[in-house]
Amino acid sequence: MIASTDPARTDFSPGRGLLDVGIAVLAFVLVCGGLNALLPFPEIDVVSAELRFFKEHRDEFDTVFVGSSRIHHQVSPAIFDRVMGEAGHPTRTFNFGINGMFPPESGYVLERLLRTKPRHLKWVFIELDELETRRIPKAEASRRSLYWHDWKRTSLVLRKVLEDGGQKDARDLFFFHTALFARNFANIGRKIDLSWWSSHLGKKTAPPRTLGDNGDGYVPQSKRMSEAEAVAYEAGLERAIVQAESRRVSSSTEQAYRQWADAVRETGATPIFLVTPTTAQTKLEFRSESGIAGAVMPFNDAKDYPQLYRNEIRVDADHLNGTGAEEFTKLIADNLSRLINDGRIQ
Amino acid sequence: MLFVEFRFLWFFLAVFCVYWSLRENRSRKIWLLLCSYFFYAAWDWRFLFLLMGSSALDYFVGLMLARTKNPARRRGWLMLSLCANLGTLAFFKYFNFFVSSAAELLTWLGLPAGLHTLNIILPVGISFYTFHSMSYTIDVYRGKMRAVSSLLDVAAFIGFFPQMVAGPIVRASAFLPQLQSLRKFSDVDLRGALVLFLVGFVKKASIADGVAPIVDKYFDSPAAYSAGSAWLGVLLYGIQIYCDFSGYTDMAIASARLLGYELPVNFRFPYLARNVSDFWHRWHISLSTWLRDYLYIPLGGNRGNRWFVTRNIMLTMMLGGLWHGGAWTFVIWGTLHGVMLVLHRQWSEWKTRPARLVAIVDWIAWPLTIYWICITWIFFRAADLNHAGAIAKSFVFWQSAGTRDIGIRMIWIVVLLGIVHWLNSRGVFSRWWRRGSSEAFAAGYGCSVALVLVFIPAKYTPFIYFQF
Repeated sequence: MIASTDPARTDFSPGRGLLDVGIAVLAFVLVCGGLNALLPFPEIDVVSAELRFFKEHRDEFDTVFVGSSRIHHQVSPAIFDRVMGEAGHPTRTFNFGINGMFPPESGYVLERLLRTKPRHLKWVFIELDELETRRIPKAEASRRSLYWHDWKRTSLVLRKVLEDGGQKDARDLFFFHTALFARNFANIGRKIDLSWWSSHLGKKTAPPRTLGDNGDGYVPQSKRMSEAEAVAYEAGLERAIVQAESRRVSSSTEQAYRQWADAVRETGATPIFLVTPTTAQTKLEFRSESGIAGAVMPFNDAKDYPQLYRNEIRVDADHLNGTGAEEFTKLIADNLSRLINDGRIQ
Repeated sequence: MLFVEFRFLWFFLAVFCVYWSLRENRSRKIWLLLCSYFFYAAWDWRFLFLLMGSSALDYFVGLMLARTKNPARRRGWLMLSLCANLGTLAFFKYFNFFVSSAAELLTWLGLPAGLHTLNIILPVGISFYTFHSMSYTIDVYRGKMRAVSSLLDVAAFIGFFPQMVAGPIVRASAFLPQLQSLRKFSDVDLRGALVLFLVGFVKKASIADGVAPIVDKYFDSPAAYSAGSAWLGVLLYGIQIYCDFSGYTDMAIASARLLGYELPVNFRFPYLARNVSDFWHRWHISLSTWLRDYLYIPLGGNRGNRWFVTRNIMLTMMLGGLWHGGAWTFVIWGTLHGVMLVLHRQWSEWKTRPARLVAIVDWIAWPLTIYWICITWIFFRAADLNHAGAIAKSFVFWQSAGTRDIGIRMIWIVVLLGIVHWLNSRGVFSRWWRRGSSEAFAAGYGCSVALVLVFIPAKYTPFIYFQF
């Protein structure tokens, strides 16, 4: 029990009180920061397992695709390597697409991936999209929405929220992401990672189920659209083509991609930004192209790539099925070898 | 809003800073009342009116009691307060219990039972604030304190947010005088309050919430677990409920202390008790003393013959059990405590006890008490009587067909926490942090908070006593 009298107490002064509060906060921040650096990487469903797998095999790959399900289900490393090999540019590719992994989470994972120091990395394809700031109610309580909220990512998201300004829920989003940052920085509940780490120390973990049959991270989708879905899809696509426009990415998004491009270049690899063939026909443009210095491959143009928009090769407005994924992968490989052959990329 | 949530931290910071920046006591009390109502409304604003109504009624009854000297009228005013408070409590907390029990009885007797329960939401903390409120009118009625002329004071006492939803149960006679005098910041034991809050936070967020998933799994399907796991499950529940409730109380006392108010001690190392009577002097002290002063003694207390006293003890403990919730498991929990209190009383009054027997009982007193307390916890926690029976069979007779195990390493947690509990009772942790400069304390506190946060679960479990 704690006695209510304090013999050591001295006369209180506001200045001294503030100094003590400052010291306590500073000590708290320093210890949190230190623990943040020392604690093992959190065990996040799929992400951690794929990172571990990549770390173990990092020197086997020279090409990596990073992004969401639009990468995970749509880019076949086997086909990409075959086409590149036939074009005289042999590659060994890994698909690091993870369902629901949008920027800035994808950027965080990319930096983690680069931290493994893959020695032969040559090409890094990064899915290009605006920074995602929305709340996803189903995932809100999960650690997946928490772990990437470091200051670098959170500041980008907060900037994006402020840039979007007029949004009805801007204030809510601002507090939401700030709270996640605080939770993440304070390492709340991270004992679970310590337990996981200590119980798996020296043990070999099973490869993640998301690696697919070839163990390269690609899992094709076999579903085809129903007739009704196809009709709705065609109508939606038609509307999107009519409304097609060019738009500059927000400055926060551009800053994010600049950071990631720089990080990729530091490893000696070349960043390539990939826009997947969704029905959103908006052509994203960087504000200052010189600053990014990475090729952009936009495939979200139904006029330029009608073969990717046939309803029989699609699952929905955002995703291709296995057949579509093959065509898409070939197109990426063709585009890359053309860029290399033209000397526009090295 | 839970004490362990981030938003409580911001809320309390705002309360604290504005409170101490106000010079006048009245302004401070208004601020406290507004904050308390905001705190309560964060749960469910609709029940705020119930709290306000209870405060207003008891304030009015207090005034009327002060005005009249006629004993019959005074009794009438007191009855009004008791009926209103207990009636509200009975409706929200026990209506469904009484209706379903009556229906079961009628069915058992072979009579038609067309009774229907209602979908009633239990207002948070209703058991606590009605007891706060009643202590005021009863004390005024008994002449133990004078009626307060300020509605603000009564409302601030009943609604005071640190103690409103889960206690400790504060007596009006102990708290109202504190409200009536201007608190001085220089009197606040900042260091003690901050440490107490952190200790409470560790108990609740780290220990209670840490073992909660294991306990829940066990109590959800006890038949699937081995008899050894029954022991562990029940012991872990004993740890969980103690750390949960005493952790909340520590944080409540610390929050009040930071605002210059002293709340009563609610726990004194209950698991070191050497008999059930001793346990009730250490566990939820504010409830046990409330029941003693406002129920047991008015029933006759220790006066009268053995059977009369036994009746008083049993009635008090059964109603004390029922206070926790409308379920037979709580009644049995109270009854088991009552039985042991009666037996202990008989033992204590046995003047010709053989010395050898006394020595043996003295030797086994502590494990026997813990064993009995654990058996009572089974009824306190079990979802229903069937579950309770299955667990008790497994716990007492070591009989279970289940094969699942909780995990042997949990024994070490029980042992470790037991040692910490014992060391703490010896005062090992109570003073060293008072030494050293305030700067060193501040730095140590900041580091401790950062370390503690690592060891709490990512999700909070609601305080167990909030449901009461």
